[in-house]
Amino acid sequence: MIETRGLTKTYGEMTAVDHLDLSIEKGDIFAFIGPNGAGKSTTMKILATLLRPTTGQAYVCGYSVIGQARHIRRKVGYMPDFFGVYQDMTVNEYLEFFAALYKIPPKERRRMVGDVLDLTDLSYKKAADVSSLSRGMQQRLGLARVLLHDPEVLLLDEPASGLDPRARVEMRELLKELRNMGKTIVISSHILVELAELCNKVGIVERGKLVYSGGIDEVLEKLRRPGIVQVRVPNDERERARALLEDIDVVKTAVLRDDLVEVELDAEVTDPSIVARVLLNAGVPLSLFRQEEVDLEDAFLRLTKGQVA
Amino acid sequence: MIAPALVIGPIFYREVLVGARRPRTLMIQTGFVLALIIAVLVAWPPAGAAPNVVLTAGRTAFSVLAWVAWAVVVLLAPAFTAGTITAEKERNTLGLLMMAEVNHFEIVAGKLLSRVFFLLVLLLLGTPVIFALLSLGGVSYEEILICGLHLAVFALYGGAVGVFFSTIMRADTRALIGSLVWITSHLLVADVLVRVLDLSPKIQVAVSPFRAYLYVLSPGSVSATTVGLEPGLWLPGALVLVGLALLMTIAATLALPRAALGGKMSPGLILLVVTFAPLLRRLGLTRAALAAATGPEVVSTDPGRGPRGGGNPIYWYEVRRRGSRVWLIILRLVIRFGVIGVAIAAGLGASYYNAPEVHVLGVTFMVTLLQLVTTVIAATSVASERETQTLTILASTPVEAETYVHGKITGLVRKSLFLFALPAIYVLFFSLWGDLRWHSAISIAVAVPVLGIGSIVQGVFLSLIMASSLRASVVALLVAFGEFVLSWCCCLMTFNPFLIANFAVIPQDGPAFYATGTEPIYLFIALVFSAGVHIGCTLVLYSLATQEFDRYVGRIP
Repeated sequence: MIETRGLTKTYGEMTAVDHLDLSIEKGDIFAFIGPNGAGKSTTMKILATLLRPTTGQAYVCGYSVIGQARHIRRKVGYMPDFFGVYQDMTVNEYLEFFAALYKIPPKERRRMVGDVLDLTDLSYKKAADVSSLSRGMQQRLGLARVLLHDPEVLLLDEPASGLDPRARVEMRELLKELRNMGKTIVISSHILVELAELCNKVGIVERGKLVYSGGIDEVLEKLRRPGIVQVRVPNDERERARALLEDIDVVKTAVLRDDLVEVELDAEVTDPSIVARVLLNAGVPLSLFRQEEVDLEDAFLRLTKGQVA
Repeated sequence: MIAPALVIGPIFYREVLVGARRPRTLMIQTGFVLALIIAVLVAWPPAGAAPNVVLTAGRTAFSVLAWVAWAVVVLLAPAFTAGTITAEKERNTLGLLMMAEVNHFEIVAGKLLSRVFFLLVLLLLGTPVIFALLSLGGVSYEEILICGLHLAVFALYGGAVGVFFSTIMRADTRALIGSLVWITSHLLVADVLVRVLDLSPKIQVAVSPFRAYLYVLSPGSVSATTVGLEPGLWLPGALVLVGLALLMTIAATLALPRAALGGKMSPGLILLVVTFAPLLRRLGLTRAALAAATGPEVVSTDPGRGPRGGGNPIYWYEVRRRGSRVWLIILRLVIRFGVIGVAIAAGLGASYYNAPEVHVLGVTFMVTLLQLVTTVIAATSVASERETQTLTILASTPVEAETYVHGKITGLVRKSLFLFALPAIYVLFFSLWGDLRWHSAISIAVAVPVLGIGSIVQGVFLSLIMASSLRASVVALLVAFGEFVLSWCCCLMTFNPFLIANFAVIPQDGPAFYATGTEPIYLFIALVFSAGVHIGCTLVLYSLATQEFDRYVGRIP
């Protein structure tokens, strides 16, 4: 559905996107993550045909962004990270205006606008002035706008930025709804925990370069360090537990991390339950015993160095 | 008395420092001095010219430079200051500024004086060029200094108007439009008043800034009894402008707290409240009056409808964009009633005093207003979308260049239809009445749409290529001024409201005012020629705007 080959965008000396190779299949929900200034928004703009790449190619729905931009605009719904609102327009007028720009026949316009208003839960606000909406509602309105022409691909640049927790939850639910509708979605966000729940693929960029691209489960599995076990014991037993664990032959290190004791076992150990047994035999109560967990945030931090383009 | 430290405070210091760093400042200064040098070189007499020719050349060059400087001050003074408070509002820093230990007057005065300071520096940069004229003769030190004083005072007044509108309006372009409409109305209405009421020279120069400046440049045209410049005649005009500037600054200071709160302001009512502030304070009604000026929040229950049928959505948006804000409604009413008032005053004045030249003055006012309004609204039309970032969203849709540009232009024409129609109705009425020849109505019917649509296309084009609406407005006004000046040389009257009125408005019992003794048919042929050139230029700009649209809005063609 989306493919980039050696996509590069430079501004003078600065390289914003550096030979980016991406491949996103139909129905994928692709999390595009990276530090600020890594080149996410630039890539999104190129895919939305709002920026010409310096070199390389990008294809959306089989059309090239160079030379076939018009076709792409009909297939794509782009929501920028910050978008202005038209003053003196009601929500209904705003959507009808864009429906007309997408050349939706007049007879269908009202129905389409009604549908997207229902989907984004904004029907009760259709008479309100767009500029009077809260940030969360404006984001939902932005999403309603990009859905008007029933695009195959949605490019959502930081759709949850600046939203309060409730609005973020609402936005997440809305995106799940779109996922169920079979849309291909490329979404950039800093709220990585929510992306992990929503997306099936991830692309991590740093300084314009793609550090990783693939399935989310695969990257988490790949970054999980084998032989790391975490246990939780009562506070007054933590130091004793650490000392006990360090004395085990197959334990390389045992360190206190937050409210846990993190144990690194020798590579050849196949059964980490020895850790639990030692503690229980010594009378140390255990409230948690698990192998190390890696989430998208950890993956992001491990794969990137916080460098910008 | 205001302590200097209060005004030349941190705000003034910061504004001057930041302003001096802007490349734009250097570009404006260089452009201004270059324009003056070119004007002097053109007017410079050939070597060995007779002494009287040299004297006349010196005088002519001084007059040209003085009027160029005046036009620059009239246009740039509000442009320099119109964005000063609105920028703080847009950045949400006005509240922070007001929480600092500076009083409101210091904020307003500091912003005003720092911007006027740049304008004065600009005028001072032209001093060597103007003083070069002394070597030719025909002009004295005294005249140059008094002329400079008048320019400085007008810069202060224009700047104060800009700051006032910047305080009460939300966006810089609205502030600029408000300031320009205010200043143009002040200049034209005062001038019409002193002519119609036939006031004494002393009152003329006090009431009309234009007459005061005219007196400085040509004393005989205002007072036939004086030869040189008399302080009793050049001083009152300057003092009145200083007084008005102070009043505007105080009004802006009073309006500043409400501006920081982001409340909706209605300029007309705020002005009324400020005017009657002492009385209201005595009656304890200030707060109530300010609350009344703000007006209740109107909540609509009508969802509204978008573009009808298969019509152009951009056209719909432009027409819809008229706005429902109180200040916009008042501004529209002020423009409409103002222009109708001027039309009635001009018509009555011309008929009552049997002075057909007043018709020319009235038509000049109406056509000038059309050109100013269409130029500014067109220049802000696309650039304001770029500023609010709605253009990015629009560019991501499949909207076509023709749909967008055509929709903008037709929408803007529809929006300013009243200003298009009024001069035509006026001239048609007085042609039927018998004051003017029927040629006048035809000529106006040709010239006014050409000028108006030309200004709109030009404005939309500049708006497409400029980054900010303020910049686009200023450049569009400067281009319009350039066309105004150039049209004198090549007699392309449709570019110039003054020439349109003077060529096209022909009294029943006399020749056209400007082209004395020329047959109306020749004037009409000249008009058609000018219209042809103007339409050609407009088509070129339209074609550029549509062909390069994707590049201008920043998307891949």
